[in-house]
Amino acid sequence: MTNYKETNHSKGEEPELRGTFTSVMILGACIVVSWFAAFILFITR
Amino acid sequence: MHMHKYEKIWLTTGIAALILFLIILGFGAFYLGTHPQSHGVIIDPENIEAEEAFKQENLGLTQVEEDKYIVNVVASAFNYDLGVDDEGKPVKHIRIPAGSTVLFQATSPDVVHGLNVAGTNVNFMVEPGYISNMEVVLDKPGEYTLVCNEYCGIGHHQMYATVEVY
Repeated sequence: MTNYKETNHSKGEEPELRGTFTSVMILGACIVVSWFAAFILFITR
Repeated sequence: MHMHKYEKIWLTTGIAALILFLIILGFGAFYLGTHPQSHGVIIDPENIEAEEAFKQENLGLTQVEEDKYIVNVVASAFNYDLGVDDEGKPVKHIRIPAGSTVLFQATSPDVVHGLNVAGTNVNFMVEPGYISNMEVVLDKPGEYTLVCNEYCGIGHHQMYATVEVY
């Protein structure tokens, strides 16, 4: 069984999410770029 | 509930993006009137000539105004019927002046076809029982191929014609 008392959270420390944040933002940027790419293609043809 | 600062940022960004894209979708649908190319206009697939647009003499390119044209097409396995020329030969090449507004109207008496003027935004499904239409402005001169992009059977690749914008 996991001992919850050992987790960072219960010690009052913030989990390290910088890497997660960067990857979420990169994914978001990819979605926005591909949306605009398709939109520009539609407008110019 | 405790939330990490980064979680708040990406959740806010995600929800804002969702709202933005829903607004764009709503604007397109309700203000601009964008709809699927086949949107419930029905026809009897066994008697398509009952519809004025798909009578043999009305097929192909028709000029309705100075810069407005209509192209009526019957997509069938395995042919795009654009009517016949003066000599009675099937039309396989249509010429449209650049800058014209062209309304494509199509239906199918048999199976689903994909009407696509390659290189333009004209790209929609043609389903038996429905009339599909799409209006576009063709302003780039060139020769475009009208193809079927929905596999419709053994002769699928033989379904083509050309659209010349001059």
